[in-house]
Amino acid sequence: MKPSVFEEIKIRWVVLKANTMFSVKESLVYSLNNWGGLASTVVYMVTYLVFLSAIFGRVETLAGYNYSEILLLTLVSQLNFYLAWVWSIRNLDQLGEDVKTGKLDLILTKPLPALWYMTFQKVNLFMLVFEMWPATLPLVYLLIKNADFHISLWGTFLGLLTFIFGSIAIHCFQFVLTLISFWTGEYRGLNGLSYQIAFFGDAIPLEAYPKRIMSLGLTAIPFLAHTALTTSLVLGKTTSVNWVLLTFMVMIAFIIIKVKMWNLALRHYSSASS
Amino acid sequence: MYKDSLIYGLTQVTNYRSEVWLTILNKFVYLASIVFLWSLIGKAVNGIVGVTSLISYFLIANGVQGLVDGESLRYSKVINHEVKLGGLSAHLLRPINPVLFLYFSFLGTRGVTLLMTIILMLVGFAFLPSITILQVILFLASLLMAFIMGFVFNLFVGSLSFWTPEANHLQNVFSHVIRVFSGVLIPISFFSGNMKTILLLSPFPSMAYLPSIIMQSKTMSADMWMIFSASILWSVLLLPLGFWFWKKGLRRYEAIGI
Repeated sequence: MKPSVFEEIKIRWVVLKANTMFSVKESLVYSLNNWGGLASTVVYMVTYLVFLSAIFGRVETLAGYNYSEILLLTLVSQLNFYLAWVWSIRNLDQLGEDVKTGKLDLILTKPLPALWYMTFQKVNLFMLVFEMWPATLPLVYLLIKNADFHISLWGTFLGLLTFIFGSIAIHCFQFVLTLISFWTGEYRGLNGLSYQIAFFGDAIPLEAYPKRIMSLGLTAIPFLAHTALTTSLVLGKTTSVNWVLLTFMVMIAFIIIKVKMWNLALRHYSSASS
Repeated sequence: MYKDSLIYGLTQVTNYRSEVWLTILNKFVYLASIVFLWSLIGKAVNGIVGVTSLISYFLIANGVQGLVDGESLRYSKVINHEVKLGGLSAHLLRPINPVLFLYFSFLGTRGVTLLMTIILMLVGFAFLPSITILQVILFLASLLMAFIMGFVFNLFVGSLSFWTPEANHLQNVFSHVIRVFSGVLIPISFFSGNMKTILLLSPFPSMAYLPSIIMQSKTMSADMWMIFSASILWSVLLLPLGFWFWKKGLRRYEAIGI
């Protein structure tokens, strides 16, 4: 008998909860690793802020964005970066590794929604608490100290939507790239490239891009929605709701592509291992 | 034996051709974002720097840093891996210098990447209006110092593995610092005041800024002489210190008896 929609949702919730709890326990075991990670992220943030202050020591604005607006863009970019590390990037690496080592066989035998399981195999909430906030504090401090922009509630709401839609869309894009490892057997190069694309120009405002790249970055390779478009909407530099609708449709399209490609990759995987 | 190690490393990496091409593409995307950002900054600081000059600067700086493994510190990861998993013990039993043996093996695995970084530098040279013999000589001298500094930083960070197995994160810390202060992300000339002076006297600019800026200027400025002299001093000082640190770590490794 086919399970009801509620049962399907319940299974997915149980999988998500179990994977999250396991990831948190895993993080707590390697405490030295956490301190090293914290040192790395804090140093990255501080050196990046030095980089920004050196640039803005020479220029007034960058593509129409002043120092404080660029700081806001950096904050959105950082939130995206950590969010991606919490639930997406580690799972992409894990997927590639599972395909390479054949561990995927074991996962496929489990009575679980496999795609859901692979998407949320590792959910490292500990990183949000232990690395994100301490590392982002200097940025938040500078942002408050230099705040020289106006943000509206409506713009923030639209920005929040594109942040979510854009993050999901870019995750699906990266996931599809990782699926190529079902054919090639190797994943590191693919994941490295997809990461580079996902965070392309994270210090560059949306308005700086030529129209063709902007069209590409908001549709076929959706690297502009999660950070650049979000910041532009929050700051009121982009006001049209159409951009939010476009991002929503792109997200839906990428979810469909992800599911279709997953099924195709699984068919190839089964035929190879049988 | 070192030559065999180099060839073995090269054979290993060329087995995964798709990975090599993807790594090249990855670097291309990264550089495209840097060049795009700096073309915007170049336009904003109208009159101070030309966009072509900035593109040339970043191509050469990134090429040099890739060539000497100054930013990613991949060799330190190799040392970390060998220490952490105990593979170093096998090398210690053989009548070889383990640091050099591992380095040559590592160089082999980077064969294709090295070729790419050289091409990157050549493209950077092509953006320059003209090049003098003096520039080429000074560039080669600065490249040697960049190589020494890159090697020393790798050896130092790698040797930290003798004290902590989680040296990979420390490697990231060093990478972030080197990325910003060596000039690979931002020319040192963009800094001002004391910060700039401190940076010019530090060992970091020798790994990217100095070789790149030498190719941009027809004459050596006071700043360039300052970095040049400081780089020689740092090379002479840090190379023996790096080996001393390695030996100190090695004694600890042997004492533990892994």
